[in-house]
Amino acid sequence: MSKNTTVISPQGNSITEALRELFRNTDLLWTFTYRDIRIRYAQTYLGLAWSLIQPLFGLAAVFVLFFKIAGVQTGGIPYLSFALSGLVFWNYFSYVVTQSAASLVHVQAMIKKIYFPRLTLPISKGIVGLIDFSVAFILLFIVNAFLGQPLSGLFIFPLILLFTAFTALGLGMIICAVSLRYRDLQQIIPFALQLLFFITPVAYPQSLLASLIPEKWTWLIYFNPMAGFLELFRAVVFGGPASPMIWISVATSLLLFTVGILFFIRTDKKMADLV
Amino acid sequence: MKDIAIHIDRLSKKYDIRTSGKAEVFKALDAVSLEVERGKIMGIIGSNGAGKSTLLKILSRITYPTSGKATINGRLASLLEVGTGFHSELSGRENIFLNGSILGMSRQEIRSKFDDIVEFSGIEKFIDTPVKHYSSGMYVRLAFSVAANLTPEILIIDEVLAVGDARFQERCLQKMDEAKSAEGRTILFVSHNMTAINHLCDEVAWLQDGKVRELGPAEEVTRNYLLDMRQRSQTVALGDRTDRTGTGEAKLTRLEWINSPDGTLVSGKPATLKADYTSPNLDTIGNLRCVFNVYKENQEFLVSLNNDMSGQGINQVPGSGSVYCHFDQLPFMHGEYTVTCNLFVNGLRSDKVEQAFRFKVAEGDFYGSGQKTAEKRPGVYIAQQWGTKPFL
Repeated sequence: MSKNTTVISPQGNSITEALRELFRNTDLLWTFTYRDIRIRYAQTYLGLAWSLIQPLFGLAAVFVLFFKIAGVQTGGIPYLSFALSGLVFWNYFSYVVTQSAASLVHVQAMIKKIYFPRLTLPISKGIVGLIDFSVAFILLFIVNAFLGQPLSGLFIFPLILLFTAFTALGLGMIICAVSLRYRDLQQIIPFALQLLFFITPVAYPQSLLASLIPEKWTWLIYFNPMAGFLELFRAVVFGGPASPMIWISVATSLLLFTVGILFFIRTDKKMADLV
Repeated sequence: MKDIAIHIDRLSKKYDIRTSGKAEVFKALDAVSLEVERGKIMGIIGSNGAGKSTLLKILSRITYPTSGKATINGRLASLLEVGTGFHSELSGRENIFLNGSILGMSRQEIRSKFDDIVEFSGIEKFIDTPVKHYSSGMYVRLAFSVAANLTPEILIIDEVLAVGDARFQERCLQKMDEAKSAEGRTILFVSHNMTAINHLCDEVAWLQDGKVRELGPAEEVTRNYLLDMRQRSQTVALGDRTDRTGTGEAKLTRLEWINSPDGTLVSGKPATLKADYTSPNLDTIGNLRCVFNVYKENQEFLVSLNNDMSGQGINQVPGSGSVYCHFDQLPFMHGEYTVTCNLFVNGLRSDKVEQAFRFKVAEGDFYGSGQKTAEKRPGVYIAQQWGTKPFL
């Protein structure tokens, strides 16, 4: 049999086949990425500037809410620098979850008409999010330089970013697969993300959250991978302790990603019948 | 040993349909087995709901079979609908890359064929304009050009010829012909156009109720198919036909030409087509739209009789009744015609029956000139004015 032989059977695509297809179709991945970026800025007056305006507004909001009104203490670290270090990753996380979760619902017509490796859709959202991330990260760089924070620690960011992407894509793909049948899930995402934002130490330090629950339950916090990753990032950038329980976050993140991919591929064969 | 490109082995697809609580199993495909040799073009024909689209969808991996399997030897691309994935905000150039990648081409491949694609579409001037500013014709031409320049070893085509203008359609058929002879490409072609099927296909499979009813040389199978369709429309009353689609809110029960007492229709003479319809539930119908498409033999489209398009709305009518379509002068030329009927209730397709009605027209003097057409063939007469000065 030639390498181009395809066998179509009721079992559908195997996991290995689906992953092999994803890597064979990197061109499609880039094309989807390019399309999203182009469409996002099509007919906008400010274009790329929106990627800067969004984190700035977010930063202003948490500055007023958490710092001015609630009086959150960040242990000697300038608040703006502290909050932005969290927002940079949180915004990426929230963007990728929202976008990848909706990636199939948005192209229903296409799914019914043509076959292409479906995994390219959510994964491409993870790449699109990098644009906003880069702009926000440069902003973080500038703010830190301005406030006199040492910058060397920032370079741990690829690791944190990678795990943020795993978590976001994992969650996104699970929601995506389930919401093909239960469209309700799409409605819940905005609330769920907002709630998650408040129970994740993005705009306030981990210690504040930990002080609210009994010490023997502290490990529970780390099941929220973002909590663990932000703690690690800040520990490296600003100095300070990082709990060994961060491993729980790493494990959760990898688990979410694996489950997400498996679940997504399993749903793949039923997709056209469901949408 | 024969070189087989597509091997289909007892392929079945069942759908669970829930109608008012009762679960029913619908067999869209029932143990279909087919083999297509490399380099051949196989046509798939059959009435609506026969399983043609399901078969193509399974082969192009959009949906999966319930049982059985298909083996495809070679790279396959399908054109179930041209222009899938086109985005209106993007330019023609960008959409060529987008659509090409979705159809499975690498960027490098697209780049090497880019000029051919643009040339074939004939829209060089607008290639950097967002496609939202295109006319629908331009849009379709660009979309088809991408697809036509694909070079998969196996190509699946469904009804693409229903789009685009006649000249463009011809070029597409020509392109397919080229592909057949030059590149030895295997093609699976679904169409209702028997002329195109006959012209292009080596072999034809006729599907009926999810099964292969007949498989063989194109001419033989299409002839039998048309014969069967004719018998069906003659022996089974329209109201009793089961091969219909639509919501069923109202359906057609009978079509007939009235005021042709001896049963003959003559070109140029007055004639009225009467269509009876009935609705099981509705007492009144807010808006009724009739679209009766008239076909020549071989299922070639000729003209559409459409009350809505001609600006004559049918509103607030009883749930059961009749609709009339009158001609002061019957425009059909000598020949036999079939009519595919569509009935829309408040904008939704309520009933569609292919080849619902068949009629013969005898030669007559449409223009009142005393002349007769030299060649007797189906077609339509059109009122026309001639002179040596412009009619301004």
